[in-house]
Amino acid sequence: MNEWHGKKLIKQLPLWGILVSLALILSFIESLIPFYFGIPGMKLGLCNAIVVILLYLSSAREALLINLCRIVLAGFLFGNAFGILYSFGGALLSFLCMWTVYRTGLFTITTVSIIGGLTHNIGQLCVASAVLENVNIFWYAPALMLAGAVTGAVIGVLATELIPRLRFLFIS
Amino acid sequence: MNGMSKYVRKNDIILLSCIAVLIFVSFGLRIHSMMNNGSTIEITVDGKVYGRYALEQDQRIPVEIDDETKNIVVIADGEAYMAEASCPDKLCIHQGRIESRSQSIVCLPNRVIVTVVDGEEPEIDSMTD
Repeated sequence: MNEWHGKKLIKQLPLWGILVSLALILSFIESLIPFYFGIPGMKLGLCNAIVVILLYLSSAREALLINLCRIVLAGFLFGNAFGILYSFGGALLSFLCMWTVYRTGLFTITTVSIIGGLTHNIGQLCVASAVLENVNIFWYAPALMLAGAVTGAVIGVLATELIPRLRFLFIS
Repeated sequence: MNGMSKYVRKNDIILLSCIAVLIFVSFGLRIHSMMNNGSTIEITVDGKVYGRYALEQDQRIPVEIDDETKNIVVIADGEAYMAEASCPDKLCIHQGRIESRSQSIVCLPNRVIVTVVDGEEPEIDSMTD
């Protein structure tokens, strides 16, 4: 690592810290809201707003880094080891899909977020079916996809509004 | 932006319509599989079959893991539901009653799954209350 990289890293670190804390707070808020409509694993996905915003304003690498840190911390604070495993599955799949859709440059922020919400649930189901060695839980897939798309749309509209307003944070 | 929304544009509508169709088809498949009512429930713990129980017979099934009762599955009026669970979130209890083939109740913390199967005769005769 040369000097330039070192300076850049030191400049970035406080912002990363703030972003991880922010994501953690959103995770906490989410764990407080009883957002439950008869489908297990359904969540509002507030943290996905941070991933989407970082994807647009910063870099894919940072978006992934912050989200993975958030999952590990939130998992130990409000969940359990299996929760972390499910979240990782969801986060990685949704990140890959959002990144692909984003990279095509053909779609709006809302669509990227919808894809994220939808595939997050699919990723979690895949991990859960592997852990539980049961494919029957895919029975929940349609409802979870629909729920993910709806919450993804809400988060997408939020991110669309926030991105132009937060751009100043990332101009160095 | 000549009338185009900043939230959704033409490309997005095309992609999202495809996804909507996919979701509808999967809902359709699910409803199709729900047409047949199952006759038996299968309880698995950690991926291994714990027992099979006939839906015809009203019963209370304690699921014991390491000599501790972790969950209680109840069969009543041809439907099965989770009556008690040792986990803190109680999500499995909220999952309600199941009766159709391949419907399931999942308790992630205890790794207990109750699934409705076609099952011929139950392999294990279970206790009745």
